[in-house]
Amino acid sequence: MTSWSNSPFPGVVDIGTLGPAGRTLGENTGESRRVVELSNHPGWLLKEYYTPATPTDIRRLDELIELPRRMGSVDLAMVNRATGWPVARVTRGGGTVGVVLPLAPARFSAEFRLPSGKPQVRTLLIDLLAMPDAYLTERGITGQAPRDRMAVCANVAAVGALFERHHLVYLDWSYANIFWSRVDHCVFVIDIDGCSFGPRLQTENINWSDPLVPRKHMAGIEVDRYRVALLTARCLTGRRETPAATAALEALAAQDGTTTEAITRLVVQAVSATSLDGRPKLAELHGALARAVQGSGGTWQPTVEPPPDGVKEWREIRPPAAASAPPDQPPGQPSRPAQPAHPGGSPETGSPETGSPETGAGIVLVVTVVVVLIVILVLVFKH
Amino acid sequence: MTEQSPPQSTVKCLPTYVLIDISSSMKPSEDVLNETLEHLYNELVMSPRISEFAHISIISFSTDAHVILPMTDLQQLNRLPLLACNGVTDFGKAFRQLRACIEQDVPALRSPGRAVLRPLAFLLTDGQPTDPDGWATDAWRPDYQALVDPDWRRRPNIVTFGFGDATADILSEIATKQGAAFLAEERGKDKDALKRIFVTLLNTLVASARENELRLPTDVDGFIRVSPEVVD
Repeated sequence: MTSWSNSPFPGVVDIGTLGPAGRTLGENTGESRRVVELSNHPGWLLKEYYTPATPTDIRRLDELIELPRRMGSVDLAMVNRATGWPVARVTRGGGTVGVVLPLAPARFSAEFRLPSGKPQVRTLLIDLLAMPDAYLTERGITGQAPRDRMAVCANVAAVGALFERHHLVYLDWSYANIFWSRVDHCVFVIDIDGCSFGPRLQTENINWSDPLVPRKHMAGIEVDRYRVALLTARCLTGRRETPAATAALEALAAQDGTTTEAITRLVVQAVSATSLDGRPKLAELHGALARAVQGSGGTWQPTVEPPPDGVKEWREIRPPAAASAPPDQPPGQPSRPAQPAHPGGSPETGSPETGSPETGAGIVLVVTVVVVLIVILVLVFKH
Repeated sequence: MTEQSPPQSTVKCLPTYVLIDISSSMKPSEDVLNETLEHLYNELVMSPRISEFAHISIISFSTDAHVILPMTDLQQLNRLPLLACNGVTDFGKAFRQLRACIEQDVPALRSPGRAVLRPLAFLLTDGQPTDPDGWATDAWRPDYQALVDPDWRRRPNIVTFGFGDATADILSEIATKQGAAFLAEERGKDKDALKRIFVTLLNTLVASARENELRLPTDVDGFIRVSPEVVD
């Protein structure tokens, strides 16, 4: 599986060095001129824009490509597992013409049954989860129980919360930009290269219009909160019209009681708030969904369990008695996050790593000795 | 002070018509035509985000025009037409049939909370308009003018695709927007041209569904954009 962390590309790459294009995954679908596989780099895609990127977009793309380097291990794991995060900016003749992206893993595809009865392997878009079970089963896909739908929604909200933590505005929540797996209910979010650091002009996205932020107005994370909440309502209920989806969700909560009550409250709050700051954070929605899934007794694979607010990652602490002994990793204990093998293979240069307890104590001892020596010397010379 | 809920956003839909030339000159491409139609249908049926936005109807035309796929819920459809190509190329009848369909379909699509966008029509042809005897004719123009009459509020946007013996001037005259007429670069490769047209058609619907407005293809592989402004 290709991902940001195992990218073999430098941060900026000339299109001529990428080699020939392979299979076309999409062309002229509104987002880009084309998306193609790179024949010489299996598992990697070239997304080519309609027009060269502006200087502002170039700076934004570079920052976006570098951002995971500054993330903690948990967020980085989510980037790798649940997103098609851009790994390189592609240039041609000095202009930026696209980006390199990882290909979504095969588990986000399934064999469908066409109306003719013929089988066809297709990507599992969230478009399909926002439909009733009968729609899925008619197409050869197993119907999704409420806890399955909640699990997918929890993973979507987890990615949204990741963007929120890093002050990214995505806006592009739509039926076509999220893949899901019916095996482990993981998700894969694409079109990350459109993210901005802070608000940007609202994009029109049919059937996802934000009633508080019209087209051509500045749109921030609040719009993401609205759209993820709306997506949650649609996927949990299989109803796509906004009023019907929220009404159906309320009916579900009335039936299920506490299991979905918190989710429903947050979704309805996000969708019907009369002010932007009335919309709950995505971390809250994720928490409610995750708790509901765990409480339902179902098994699911969280995309990655995100850290609580304010926690970048977890680090091991050794008990003082074992401080002098060489570290011996007990089986089953989580290991320290690996350094990302990213652009140029350079090690993580983000926040400075803090030292181990043994090194800190040693430094204190040396400093103490030096100070004592200086005091002694002063006293000797004085006398 | 009581808080009011914010207004709910309106769902939009795009009535979409595909006018397919099935005159006798299309006979060699009949199989490809039927295959690509089935492919288009499959993509729409498997993509609720497109089919809830783009409501499709297919009109075939040669000596006569027929609605071979009425604007209906594709999910309810249980059969697809297999087209047979023969006859002349009567554009006038195609435009009359299209206007009649729009008059019937658009009111039926309207409902509370749903707005109907200006209809979009794709015209696919491999030749020039002819009379019942197969001679080139201008007799189609009055029907075309009635279809695109500025005083008719439901007049459609028209995108034209031509290959084989189709001509740039007719295609660009019929297309209602600048840059919405495409002519195959290579003659004699009609099957390839047809496949690319249907891919473009689908991509146009996907792009338009995303953007809430008509998003014309910027370029079509193997086709040139034709414009009445280009005289040489």
